Amino acid sequence: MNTDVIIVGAELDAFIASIRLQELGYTSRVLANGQGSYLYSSGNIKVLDFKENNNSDNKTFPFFIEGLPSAHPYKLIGKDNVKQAIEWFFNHQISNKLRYEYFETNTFTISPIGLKIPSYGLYFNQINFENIYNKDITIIKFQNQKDFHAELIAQSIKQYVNTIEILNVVQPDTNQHSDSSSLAISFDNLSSPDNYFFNINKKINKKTSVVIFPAVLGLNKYMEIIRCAEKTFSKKCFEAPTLPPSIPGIRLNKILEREVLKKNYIHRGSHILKANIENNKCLSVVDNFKRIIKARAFIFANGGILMGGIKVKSNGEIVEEIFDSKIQNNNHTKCEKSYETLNALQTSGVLTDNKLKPISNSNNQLENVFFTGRNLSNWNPSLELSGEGVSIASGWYSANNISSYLHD
Amino acid sequence: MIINSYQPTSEDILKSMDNCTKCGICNSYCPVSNVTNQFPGPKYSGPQTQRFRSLEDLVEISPELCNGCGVCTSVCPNEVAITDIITHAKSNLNNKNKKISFVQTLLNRPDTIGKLGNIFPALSNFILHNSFFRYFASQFFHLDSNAPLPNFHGKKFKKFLEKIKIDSNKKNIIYFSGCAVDNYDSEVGIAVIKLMSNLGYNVITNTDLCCSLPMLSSGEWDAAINRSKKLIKSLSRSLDLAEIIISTSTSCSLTIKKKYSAYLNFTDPKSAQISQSTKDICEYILEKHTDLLAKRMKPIDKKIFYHGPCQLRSHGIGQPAVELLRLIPKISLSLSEADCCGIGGTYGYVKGRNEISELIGRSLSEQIKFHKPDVILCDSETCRWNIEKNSGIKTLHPIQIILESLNV
Amino acid sequence: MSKTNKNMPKIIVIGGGATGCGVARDLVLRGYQTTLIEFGDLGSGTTSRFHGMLQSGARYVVSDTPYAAECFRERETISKIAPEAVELIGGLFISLPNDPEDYPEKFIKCCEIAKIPCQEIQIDEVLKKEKELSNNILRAFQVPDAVINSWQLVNLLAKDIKANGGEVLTNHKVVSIKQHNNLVKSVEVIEKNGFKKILECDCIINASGPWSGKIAKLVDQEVELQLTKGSVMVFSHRIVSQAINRCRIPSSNDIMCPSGTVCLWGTTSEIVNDPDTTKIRPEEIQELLIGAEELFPKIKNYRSFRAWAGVRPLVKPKNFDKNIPLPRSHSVIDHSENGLKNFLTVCGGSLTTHRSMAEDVVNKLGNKLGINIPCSTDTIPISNSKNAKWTPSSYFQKIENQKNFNDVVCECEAITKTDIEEIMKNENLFDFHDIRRRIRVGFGPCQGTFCNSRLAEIVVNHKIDIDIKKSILNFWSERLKGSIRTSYGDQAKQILLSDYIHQENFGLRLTEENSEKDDIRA
Repeated sequence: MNTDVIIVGAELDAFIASIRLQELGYTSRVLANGQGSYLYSSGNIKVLDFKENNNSDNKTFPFFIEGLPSAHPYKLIGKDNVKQAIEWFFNHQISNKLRYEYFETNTFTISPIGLKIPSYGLYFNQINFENIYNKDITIIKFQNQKDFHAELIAQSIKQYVNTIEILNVVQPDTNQHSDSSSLAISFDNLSSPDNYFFNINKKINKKTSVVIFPAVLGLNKYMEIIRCAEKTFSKKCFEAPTLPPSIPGIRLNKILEREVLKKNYIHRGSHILKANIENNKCLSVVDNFKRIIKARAFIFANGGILMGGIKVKSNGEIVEEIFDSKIQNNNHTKCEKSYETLNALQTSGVLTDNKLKPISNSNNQLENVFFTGRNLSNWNPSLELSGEGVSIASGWYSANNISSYLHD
Repeated sequence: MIINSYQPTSEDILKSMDNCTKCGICNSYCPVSNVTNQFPGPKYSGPQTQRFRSLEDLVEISPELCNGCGVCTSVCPNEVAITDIITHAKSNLNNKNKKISFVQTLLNRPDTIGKLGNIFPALSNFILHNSFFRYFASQFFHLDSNAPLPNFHGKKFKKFLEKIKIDSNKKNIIYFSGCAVDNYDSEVGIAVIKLMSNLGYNVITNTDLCCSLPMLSSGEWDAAINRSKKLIKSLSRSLDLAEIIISTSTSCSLTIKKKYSAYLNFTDPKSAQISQSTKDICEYILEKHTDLLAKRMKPIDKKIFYHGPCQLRSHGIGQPAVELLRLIPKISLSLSEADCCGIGGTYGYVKGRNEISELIGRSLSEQIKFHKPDVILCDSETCRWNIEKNSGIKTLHPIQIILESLNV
Repeated sequence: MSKTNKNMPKIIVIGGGATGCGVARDLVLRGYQTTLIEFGDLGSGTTSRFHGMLQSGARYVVSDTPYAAECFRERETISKIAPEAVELIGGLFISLPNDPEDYPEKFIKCCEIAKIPCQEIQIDEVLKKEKELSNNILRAFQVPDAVINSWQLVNLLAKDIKANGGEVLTNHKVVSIKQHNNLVKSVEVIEKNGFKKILECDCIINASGPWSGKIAKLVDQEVELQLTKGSVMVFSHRIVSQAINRCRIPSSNDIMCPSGTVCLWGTTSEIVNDPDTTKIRPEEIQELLIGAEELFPKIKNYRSFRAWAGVRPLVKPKNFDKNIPLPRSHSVIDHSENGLKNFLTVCGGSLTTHRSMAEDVVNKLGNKLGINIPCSTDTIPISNSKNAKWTPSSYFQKIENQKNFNDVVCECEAITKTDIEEIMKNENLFDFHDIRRRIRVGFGPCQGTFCNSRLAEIVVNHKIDIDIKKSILNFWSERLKGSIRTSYGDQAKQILLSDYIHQENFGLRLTEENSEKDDIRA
């Protein structure tokens, strides 16, 4: 059971790191507590809300990094590395499987309640505001579906479109729930999607030129199904996101897992409790079955406070329990207003050097441990809209760093 | 958190409902709620309703539809012991409101049925697979006529054990065979003895013991206590002679590792020692003998398809069988992406639930049809019987192929 | 059958908390033409912000024995007239090593005087039942404490008021009160939508709790109140099966009270000047946790998903001494002593004694007007159903029976789309918060993380015109106000998940301007 790198966590950064390490010739093992936070995402890749969140004049990728504060993860990683990481992702076959398209100055997609979200990358036929300006739209909603907010979306976008109407249709299998995953699986299991869409087509207004579906058109067979819909209707079809957990996030997850499992391994339900350290080097980690798992380098991509990589104590102390890393604690308990408290919680995290290596509270710098994603400090994914970007960049970058480290 | 501890008790399990953030990831992965709207999903049946069960008696039927696969717990990012909470509910309902059904009582005692059937195995097999009997059993006992029943193997395994000689130069290892190997799957047991002897062990086999998982899963806990105590007593005595207990059923080994403390509150030192000393056979071989195997394994000219049973996930060890199979030179191996084959132990044997099992198993059936393997491998007995019945392709335990590859 | 009579005087009651609703109910049952005016929603003031107890009175039995006796009588009465809102869980008074040694004996004696049943229980019996209690407790006394659901109480009262011909005006602010010749004549109110109204009256009863002083000022009258803010923390499961009290002179950090599926721990105590002060300082949470740890050593491991604060309106007696604790019994102030003949104020007391407070002030009113109709609020039940009881799991049971799992909107509390649509049909609702308070949407551990947008979808579907962005943000912001105070452990994860969904996923923006608005009071 010899593995080069242990990756703790199931975040997007964890899988990106494993795939990148595989490219560089190293084996890895992902030890995951549960699933990761990008299952809540709507499938779009957000790198930064350029217009709101940087102080430089340049509002394009990757130059926006110049305007960010110096301790921001993008700054630690460096403009060139961020550029390479994001380009690597969009050129890799994993994103090609979902035909991700990217927009260097951000484009706008629609959120589950109809608001504009600036995004760098959208998957195949994810709704883009460009597709709806001045068009005649029909939004499809399945009966009893309560996680797709067709009315809210319609209300929010009606100022941009020509006409809009909502069509209630029967779901493919009425013996199933109407939640997102049941609907997605029933689409996968449809023996003839053309028949199904043919019946819907009869009810769509002839004037409509764009049809918006909730993002549930199949988990594994998405590309086929949406193409079938477009062919049957002879209209453009797009997906708009549902309330999380969202199917586009799960689709991306499956593709990433499949890629990792080609040569490497994922342990689900594995809880890491401590690490064995000697001479500033981490030798192994110990899980809740008291198993000792050795490796030559370690990446902790376990999601920060949101997913449990970092814990908050009742007195407001924030701790990283495996290595007792130094934490940037922005004193969320001392804040007066909720939005300040939220920002303080989000921007607290593990302090690292510019290789993403942590420093322990006893001032030891471990040479073979790296932290990525939401574990890092000095960035706020909700306000910046940079969640996926920092994940991809930090995952890819830490894999490169490990490669240099192991090579020496 | 509490669940991370090695031996969580009933109280720990039920208190873990507080950790739930309602993220809904468990619902997205539940194989049962994704195919039928009769089961509300793990989030609802588990932590959500548990908050109210502790207040007053609810009359519930829906927890019964949980098939105990454990996928929900393995994807939960917040360490909620979801499956275990639902199983606790089943046990409470048994005690308070309902009596357990006759067919479930039968199914909960596979060791007793095995012993009885093996008095006249040929006759028993004739009756069991006779379509008139199956119809009769379906109408009067609610044993589904589609359920995958195995063949009684008589005393084949025990007779093989009688011929084994003890070699004092070899290291001892304990093999808990379980009711499946004792009565129906003697080939697997014989393969274990041959393989472990080849690797340098004296195998001490404890037969005629039942881990009582069917009773635990269906909530018949009072009866489970006696059986479990008998098992612990027997294995405890064996631990005077050896350090490790191996098992060829991922379900049985999971029960011994985790469920005795979680459901029956066995926290005495004897039970704890047995939990910690029990390993899945592939887990053990992977830890100790990869180098040896890598040298000696010969190519296998068969197209192999591996399906990891759902309960394997709860072990938190990844898929050790896959790691071992990949040591076979030029192996043609494809992996199942299905989370669950549907049978759920004894779940799919009950009339009315078999339809749900079929629906769950659709994804796996499709993958098998796509890959067209020569042989299918799976580490759990009822899963094997189910897969073989549905696909018509020979389904074995991974160690049978590993043994073949060693030309023993 | 409406009891009010067109020949009876018109009374306006200001304040829609338990006291105001109790007064209005008493009035309609005696036949008065009654209008109840409330600034926000019923119970959104102090009534919903307490620690949940319908107390036996034992808490005050040494410091204010007559008040304690009144509490016990009222607890008996209310549990009979409003069984759906009350759970008779019982209570324990626990002595810890650092408590004054002579207090328990005084306690037992005073309970006898006040006729409150009190029995000492063996420690090992207590520890067997209440596993979370610390092992070093010294003595324990069983008393008949109970728990009351204040939202349910005010809703039942309001239904009864309306059924008997009274008027209930929520979301109406009192702008001014016209007086002439030492008599109040009319009240000017403004609705939330800006619509103004003038209501004529023969008398006003001021039952506005901590706002009594502000209302009295509108007619140049004084009500001297000592306002103390108290904070409460909610733990997400029942840590104890009955109310646990400290056996000592009433002070902070004294009570753990189960209420439905949760457990309330409180309170802190701090003098404030503004009745609208409901902000919790971060230090208060630490204070509460340290106090709770004395009784429950593992408390810091448990999840607390919300904290709130309420302001107690206690009346300053004429000879006010800072060093003596204020009496808890209520006061009825007849302002004719200060020149205003038809204005009465009732305040002080507690939720437990709201009915007797109402009885007193309406009796006083009757005396002044020469109308001698006796009070019947202690015998006529508020609820209609014969076998009514508080069943928090009734929603779950209903769904299990009907198997309409798909319909569930608020998962924590098992509220379905049908339930919400029923509420929307029957009542005049202004915003999400009104729905929330009627039917507990967003009350559970996730504090509206998921049900927020689902609720918005239902509301828009019913063609109710709302500003979506503002409404969803308001609901989230208000829930956050309370839930972010206890953001440690699993609650920190919940808060960040809620942030992910609303800001990162939905695209909303929480800023200085739109967080923690004052006009959302509950």
